[in-house]
Amino acid sequence: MKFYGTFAVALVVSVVFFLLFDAGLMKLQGLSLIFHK
Amino acid sequence: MSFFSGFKRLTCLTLLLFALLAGGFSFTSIPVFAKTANAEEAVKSEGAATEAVKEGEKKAEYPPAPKFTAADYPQIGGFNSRILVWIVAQLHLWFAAFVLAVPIFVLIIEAIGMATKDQRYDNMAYEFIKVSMAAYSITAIMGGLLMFSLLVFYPGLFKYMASLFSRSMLAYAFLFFAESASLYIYYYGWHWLEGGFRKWVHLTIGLVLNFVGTVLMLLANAWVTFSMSPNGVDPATGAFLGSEWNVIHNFLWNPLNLHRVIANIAYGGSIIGAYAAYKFLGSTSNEDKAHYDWMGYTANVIAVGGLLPLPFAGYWLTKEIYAYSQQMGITLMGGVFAWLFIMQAVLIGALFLSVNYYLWCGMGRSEGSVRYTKKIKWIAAAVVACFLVWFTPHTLVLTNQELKALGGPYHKYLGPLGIMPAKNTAVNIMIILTFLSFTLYRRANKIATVSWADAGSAVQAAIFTGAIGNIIFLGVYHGYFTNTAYKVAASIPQVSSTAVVIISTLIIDSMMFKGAKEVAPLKWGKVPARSQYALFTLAVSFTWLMGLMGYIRSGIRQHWHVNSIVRDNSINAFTPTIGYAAQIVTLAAIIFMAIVIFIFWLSNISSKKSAAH
Amino acid sequence: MKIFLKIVFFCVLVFSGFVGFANFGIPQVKPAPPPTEEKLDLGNITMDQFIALGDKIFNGKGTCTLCHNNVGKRAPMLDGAGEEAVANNASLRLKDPRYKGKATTPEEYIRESMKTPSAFVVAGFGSDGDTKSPMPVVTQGSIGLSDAEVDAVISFLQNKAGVEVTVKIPVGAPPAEKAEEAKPAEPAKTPEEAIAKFGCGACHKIGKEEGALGPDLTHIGKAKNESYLRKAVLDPNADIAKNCPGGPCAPGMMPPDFGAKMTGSELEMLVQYLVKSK
Repeated sequence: MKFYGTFAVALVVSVVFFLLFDAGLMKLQGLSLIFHK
Repeated sequence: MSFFSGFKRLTCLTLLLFALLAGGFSFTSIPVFAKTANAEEAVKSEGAATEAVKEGEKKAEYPPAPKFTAADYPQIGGFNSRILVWIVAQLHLWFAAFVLAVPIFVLIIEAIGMATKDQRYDNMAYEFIKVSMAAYSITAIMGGLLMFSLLVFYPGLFKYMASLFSRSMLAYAFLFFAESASLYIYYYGWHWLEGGFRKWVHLTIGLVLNFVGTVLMLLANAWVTFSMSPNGVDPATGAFLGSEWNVIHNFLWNPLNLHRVIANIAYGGSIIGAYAAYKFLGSTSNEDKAHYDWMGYTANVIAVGGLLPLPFAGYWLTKEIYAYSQQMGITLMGGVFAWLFIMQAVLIGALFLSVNYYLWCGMGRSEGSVRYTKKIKWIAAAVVACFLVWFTPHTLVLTNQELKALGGPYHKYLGPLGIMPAKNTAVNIMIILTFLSFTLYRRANKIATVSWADAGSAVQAAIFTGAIGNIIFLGVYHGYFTNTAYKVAASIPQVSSTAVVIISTLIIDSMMFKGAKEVAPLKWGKVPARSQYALFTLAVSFTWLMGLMGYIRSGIRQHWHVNSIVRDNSINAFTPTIGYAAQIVTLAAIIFMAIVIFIFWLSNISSKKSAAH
Repeated sequence: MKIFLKIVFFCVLVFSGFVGFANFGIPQVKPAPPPTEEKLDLGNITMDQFIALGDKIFNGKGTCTLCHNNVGKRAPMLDGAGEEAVANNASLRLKDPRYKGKATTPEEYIRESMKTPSAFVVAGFGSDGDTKSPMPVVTQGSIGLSDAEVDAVISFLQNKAGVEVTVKIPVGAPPAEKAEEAKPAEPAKTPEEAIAKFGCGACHKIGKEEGALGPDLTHIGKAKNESYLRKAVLDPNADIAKNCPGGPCAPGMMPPDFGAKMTGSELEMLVQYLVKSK
């Protein structure tokens, strides 16, 4: 249970991390994460 | 002599040399990353170029590029000059890649041997460099044959190239003194320069060997990339503009440099792996089997280590091709060369599948791997699924009837899997899964002793899951719901996610398994024979893939010797179909394989002598 | 030894797999041969032929359709008949505040966009905020269209769009033709050269040629004498041969003006060659 608990928390953290990470890398290329014309 | 005084002295020296190499590399890379010229400059320069063509009165200190007719190409001995140069150049490249790669990892393995004080690493490093000695002279033979072929069959072109690259060609020739000297001292002096300070001297010589070899490759890369993306010559007349640095430092030089350094490492590892597999299958004693199994494993790790970042070096190279000439880029991936990339996909799939298969077979060396064997079939299924996506084409080449039946040139459901975002998603996941196989293999035989091991694994699993999910999100959302600019840009966070997984997992692993216990000593040598065939598949696929990509790189110039500067007007100036090109590549690969077998046999007969003592 | 052979067999098997797939599993796309210079006889060309030439260049040598197509949306569509056709919307673009060029008419706009593509970049197709075009300069480098060829393409685009073709057929030969004319007209030195020069092989089986419209000349020396053969070249309709490969020979097929085109030495050389063709 300890494994799955840690996994769930870590998964949420990593999802948030990756979304911010993506947004940053897209911004570096002059674009945003979410598409708009 | 104390270990550390030698350590300090020579570490400084080696670090200085590395810094020079890295600094020189990045300094020359900077203009590549510089912002593109602004719009007005673009208009002005286009207009100026057109004006220059109109006037045609540029003050030229150097003559314009030659214009050849069929008569300028000597026909000798019934040879098809194009095929001959193609095969010889490819053979030279295969051997050159091998002899440049081996010193890289020999140096690293020697250093590991010094750090761990484990003699086995040193012995293995010595065995690797021994194999490459015969290959070195064959590389030189091929290089000489290539040069003579160019001189005999393409004298006008060679004259033009020599006039541009005069200094660098001389430097290239003279550098071979340094290359040979360092290689011979490094090899022959291996046991003479033993122990303490002398070992550091030996290591430094190995570093010099690598440095010189890299410079040689960089020079040769300049000639090759100049043909594709010429710089430093008048675009209208092809006349040399005076600066040899400018012709060397053309648009595609650094992308090719990076690509070749990484690819050489991967390729060299695969050839050594084939050597080890060959010796393993021929071994009779358990000791020999264990030794060659371990060698094969190490070689595979090197090959995988080079293979993982390679798609991205290739992606950068292609990106720069597009940036240099969108026309060239589109011909490459959307025009007549497009289907070659499906062939490339098949080969890369073969590479990834053999690497993974070898790792799964190798799990049998450890008793602790039993806990992972059930998971392997899921990884296998996922890798195969990724490969199928990776290999699905977009635009189908159809007859009119088929077009009508299908309602267009795309398959309704599978067509969307053919575009780049799907490919990037598939390859990133394949790389992560291969890395997962590798991670599981490494920890199969370990029992972590730190208190937070479970939590650590959970965190790693979360990072893997999050990254894969992220890559899929980026691929699907940006690939199908946005425009071209977003599609292309999304590939950067995709590859970065893969990098995050690899780096974070390695870091956490190193902390988590500090002081770990062994389940049982690894049973080196206890692998099924079919695992060795996976190593052969790796070497063979790599070789064929290099041949294919070499054809693409050279063929993309089509009917130009130097793109848009020197027309190829020989009677052999045709761009072949992929089937034809595949036949030539296969022929060359078989010749290569025959010579490699010869080299392996040489190492066999020379070792027989020492066994008698 | 057995193991060695096994390994070799395995490697050859893998190679066969790859080369087999490349030959049979993938469509064999045949790349176009190197482009040749268009020999433009501008003195005699009609506007329809000029437009057809533009069509040929647009779809061929100009490599326009590599990017200007419906796949991948890399470049604006040019050759339709609607709004998107550049010949139709050029005047709008000339008025666009982002336009940086010097053209005043749609024809000039199209010409300018081929020589300085960044003068105006259609929204969404450029880099640096649509200020830099990825299009190459068409009159240079690997495309290298001549001014006459550029004009032909413009005429094609205008015609396709359904607007008036404003391009004038260039008077005065383009450089390609000048080079042809500049060569001194040397008489052919060998019978084979003369046969090639005057195109005998287009209709006759003679020498290496395999024309099948007129009588077979490979053994004509046996059937006819020297004076007949000389007359046959200078005045072909004086005596029409009975049998041609496709049926009875038709009058007025062979050119009657060889007497004016050939030099004396060429005529004599050909006649002697035919006499000897027994």
